[in-house]
Amino acid sequence: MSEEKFKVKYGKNLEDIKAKTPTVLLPVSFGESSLVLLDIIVSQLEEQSAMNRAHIGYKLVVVIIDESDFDNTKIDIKDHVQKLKEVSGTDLLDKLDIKFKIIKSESYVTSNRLQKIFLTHDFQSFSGKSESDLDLDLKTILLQTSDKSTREDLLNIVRKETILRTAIAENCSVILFGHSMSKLADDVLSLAVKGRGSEISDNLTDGIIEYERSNLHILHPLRDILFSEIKEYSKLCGLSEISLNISEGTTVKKSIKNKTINELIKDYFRSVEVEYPEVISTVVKIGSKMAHPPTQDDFQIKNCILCSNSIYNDPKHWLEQITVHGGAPLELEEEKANLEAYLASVKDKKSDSLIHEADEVVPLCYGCIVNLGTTGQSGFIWPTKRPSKQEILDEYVLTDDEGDED
Amino acid sequence: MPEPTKKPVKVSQLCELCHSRKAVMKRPKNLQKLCKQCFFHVFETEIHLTIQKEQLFYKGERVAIGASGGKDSTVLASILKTLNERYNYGLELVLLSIDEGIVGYRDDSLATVKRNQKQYEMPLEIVSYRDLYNWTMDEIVACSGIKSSCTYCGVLRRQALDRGALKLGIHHVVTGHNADDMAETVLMNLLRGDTARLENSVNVTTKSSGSPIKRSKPFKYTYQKEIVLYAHYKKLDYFSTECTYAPEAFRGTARVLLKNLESIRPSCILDIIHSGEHFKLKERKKRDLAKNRKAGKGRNTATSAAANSNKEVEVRPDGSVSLHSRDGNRCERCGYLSMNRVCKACILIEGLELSRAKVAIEGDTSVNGAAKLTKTLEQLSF
Repeated sequence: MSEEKFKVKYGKNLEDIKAKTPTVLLPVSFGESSLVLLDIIVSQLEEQSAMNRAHIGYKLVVVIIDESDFDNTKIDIKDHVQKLKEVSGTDLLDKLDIKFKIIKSESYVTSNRLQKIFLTHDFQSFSGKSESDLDLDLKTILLQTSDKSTREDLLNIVRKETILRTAIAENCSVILFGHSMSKLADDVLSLAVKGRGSEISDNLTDGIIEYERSNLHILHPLRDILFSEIKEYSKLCGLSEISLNISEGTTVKKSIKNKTINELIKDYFRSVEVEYPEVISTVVKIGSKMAHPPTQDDFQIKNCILCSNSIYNDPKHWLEQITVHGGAPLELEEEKANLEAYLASVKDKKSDSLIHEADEVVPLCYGCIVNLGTTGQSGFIWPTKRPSKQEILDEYVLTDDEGDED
Repeated sequence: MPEPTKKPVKVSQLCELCHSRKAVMKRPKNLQKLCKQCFFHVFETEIHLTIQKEQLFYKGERVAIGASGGKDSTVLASILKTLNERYNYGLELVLLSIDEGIVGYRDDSLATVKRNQKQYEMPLEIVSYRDLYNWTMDEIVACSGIKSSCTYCGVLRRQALDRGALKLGIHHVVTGHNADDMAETVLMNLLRGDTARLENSVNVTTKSSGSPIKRSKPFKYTYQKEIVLYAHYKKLDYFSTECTYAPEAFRGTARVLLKNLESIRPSCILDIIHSGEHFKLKERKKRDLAKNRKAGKGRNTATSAAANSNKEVEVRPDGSVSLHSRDGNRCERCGYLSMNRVCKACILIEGLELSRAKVAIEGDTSVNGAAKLTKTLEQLSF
């Protein structure tokens, strides 16, 4: 955050200054890290505004994703935002022109067309219109899988996309993530465990990314700070009272079988941190050194239809080479009779085979193939295709009229 | 007595691949319900595919199988023999064992290897730490403590395998490292921040230029649990005791994590290997010599001169120095391939020699490690 573009601006030409002042998006999850980052940024802006004849260096938009529609906590987000404003000082926030936006995670679904994606035995992925009426909410969509880790992975996709879309809608050129070093280490390891190793560099590197032909500058200002330090800071500043310790403490009592991949990894780091404190910084450091993987055999880089991440090598080809799908030849008469019984039993089901002629082959990344593998063979309904910038703006205007927070 | 008529198998109980035999097991890799025959079929074919894809062998090649008598290497020997005959690889297979000198553990497992030698009709060569380094693992542990046992054993074994192979005139060693081992390595490289190993740790074949020995791991995509099942169903004769010198504590934590992850998502072992294959490090920025020169100007001309001639030598904390031509260097003392002037094994042995007792007690058996003690205790009876 020490870059020139965030520093105070001087001059009399307001138009010129306005053009030079970037709009910065800060997603707040009400976890300690993002609250602490907001606190620090408000102080910085306050300091900037106190300077003589100076204009503040950047405009802040705080976005809060409202997931109350499908999580069981029934938290009133508006109520919480109000509390947060009071703690930070409502007058001060107004003076610094800080905008708060609450976006329902449901918006990820409504702004898109839902499609059914399915995977054949030989890992080919298809998408097509489902015969049933496709009018599902996010909760129903996530409940298509019973696998908790898959649900968590999908929810992360929704969150990330929602933040990026809000950045476009709010005309922000910078996004600040409040992830602590501990959280980033969790991310590196869990991406590796989910087969998403190629995404580590994008998730960890501070820099410019392209989204729907717009450039977004991603920064992680708390990347060198341990979560334990952030917790202390938040205690000292009285922020812990408004934090919704979303994931803290809830995993301890669960049995291993009931945990998700992220929870297991989080627990792992918390337990080794005591004896090997250097592990967290080591993992983040090596994660930051990673680059995009090279492609093989002239494979054209594609984007996954489900998570929009880049696919560098054909996962279907990789899986086919290590998983054999043929059985051993039949020998006995009895076995042949069994096979016939089986074929007769599936005959009825075959008539409404999953793949229709209109269905098209779609690219799916390895991580999403694994996710889809947990959902059974009846296909998975998901809002595919990213909306264009114009579509995002159109969608956004609607929610604004509906009286969201300003 | 007439044979009792078999009840027909219910359709829901049939193997998911052949749909004709009763499923007897759940495949650890993807939880498919399979019959024994189909399991053997997919298990063997998958390994054959890996061998073909990586073009591991050429016809007439002599290959040494690193055999410890444990499940991995026993299954490796058995399956390579099977595939060699079935697909006509034309290989000449030899068993190569390392005797680390762990009384009560390695002597028993070597007995298993000797039985395997007869079962599979393969020649066997045993190379011992005693002959190569004049140390046994029991002595090393007695001297340096149990904590660093794996460090010593790992470094020495690597060299011992190479030397054993060379002795037999063989240039290719296959080992029984399985998918679980590979995934564990990927995790360990991340947790240790090991940039030197990160990109290549999941390769099936490793060969540094200048090294006469190629190493490969045909079990790279094979689950440990499937190896155990294969050995169980094929009734293979293997030695199943763990080494008594426990693994390094930190590696142990990663192993537990991996087991926990596997219990909630069986595919995660392959997922981690997939990630490992996609790790790529950013290009390291070359040091700007001009910048160095500028910084050195007026302060220390000697520094800038050194930077100019580019003859800086990195001295590592353990006193070793890195040489600029990285591959193909030889250890000054033993002639083994080494990135430094003196290889790691020689450095370790030298450190050990310093703390070796000058006088020995005749008939002393106290150096024998925990394995020996356990064995003695097992044989006690009331």
